[in-house]
Amino acid sequence: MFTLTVLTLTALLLFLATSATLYMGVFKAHREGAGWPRKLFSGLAASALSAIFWAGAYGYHYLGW
Amino acid sequence: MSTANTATFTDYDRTRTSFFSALYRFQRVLPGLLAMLMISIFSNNLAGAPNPFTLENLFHWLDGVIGPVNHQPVFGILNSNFVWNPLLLGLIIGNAFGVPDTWKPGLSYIHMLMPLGIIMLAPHFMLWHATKLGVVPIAIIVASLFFTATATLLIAKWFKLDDRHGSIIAGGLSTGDPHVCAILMPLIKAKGGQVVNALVCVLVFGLVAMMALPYLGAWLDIPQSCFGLASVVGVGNGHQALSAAFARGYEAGRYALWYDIGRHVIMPAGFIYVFIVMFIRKLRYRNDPSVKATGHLNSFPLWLGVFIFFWILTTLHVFKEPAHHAIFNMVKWDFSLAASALGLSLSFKDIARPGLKGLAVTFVAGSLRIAVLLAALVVCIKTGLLPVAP
Repeated sequence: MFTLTVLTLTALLLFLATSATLYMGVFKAHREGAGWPRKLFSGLAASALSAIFWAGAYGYHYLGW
Repeated sequence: MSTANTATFTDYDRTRTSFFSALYRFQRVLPGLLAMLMISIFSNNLAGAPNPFTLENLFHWLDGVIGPVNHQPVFGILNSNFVWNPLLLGLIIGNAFGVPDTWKPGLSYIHMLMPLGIIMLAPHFMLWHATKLGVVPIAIIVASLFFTATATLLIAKWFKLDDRHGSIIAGGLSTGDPHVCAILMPLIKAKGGQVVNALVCVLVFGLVAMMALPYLGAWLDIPQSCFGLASVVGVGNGHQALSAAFARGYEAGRYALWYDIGRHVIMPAGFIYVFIVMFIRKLRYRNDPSVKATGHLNSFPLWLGVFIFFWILTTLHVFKEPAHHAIFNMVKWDFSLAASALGLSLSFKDIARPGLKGLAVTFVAGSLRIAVLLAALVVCIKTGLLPVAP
């Protein structure tokens, strides 16, 4: 149970950190001049890309494909 | 005190609500912390981050393509590890694309990560593991450590090298572990450029020693079992020492693996010794402008005391093996983050600025160590003090 909790929290951290990196580093949506549509779509795109990357990485590691 | 300073102190007193008020706000440190995290998870295979696209995996793959040199991976000989990989990636990214000012508050967390990582290293050094080597090999390993550290500090003084740079070289060379260069950084208050320069000096000397030592061993007719000890103590990092030993012969390589435990477990004694010598020197010559090592440190650092306390607990077998491995995984996380911050904060100019004097000091001190070590080994073999395997 302990390992599962730590793994889940780490996965959440990796997902959120990657999303935040893409949101701020690639889409630059955190800047003051950015309007809400840009913030919204950048957030969605960053989260989607982060989820796809980590789903692939976890699948590769744990499912061995 | 100026008006501006008074205003700053007043503001700080008014706004602080707890011990943590001295820290930056989360939003200010986030960009820097994210940069460190991304570099770390794309540099090393870290526990809990199953990312296959790491520099570590790339180097493993290239090692497979190139093939081993004297049974050792080429990138291992070049010191690829959990400190060097993120440092390299951070250096490349920082120098190629620059580091925005918004990253800098986050990168300053290196000052907390380094002491924390060093404390967590304590369960890694179990002194008891070395006792099986026997009294004479242990005495040679310990004597070599203190001799090399002292000689390097004196030679650095003789060469008029910056004492912070000299101390870092002394730590790395005496312990045979370039990691110590990074470990000594917060104790000696060395500049990042000096630390990486010293690390390169120890690494380059290790490469030369790795190639020269097998010939010296053959010339002096040192038996393979004893040559294993010579390579562990006389060369640089672990893979370089093993490569030198395997170049002499298979038995020498096997014995190097055996003796390496002795060098490894007393490693903390090396950096603690260098720190204490430089700290006492600073206290004695406080007004000398050339005495820069240990900076404005006025008392023994509490966290180093915590490290020593945990090291004692380790020798008493308080940390069991699974705990040791779990803690070491956290060390890898910690040092990866710290090394990426260090890499991002340095320019290639910072590394080149200390010049080649450090390299000269490393070569003089390292060659002296090899000469004294081989002489001591020959005497011990001739007198029968050092057992020679049949």
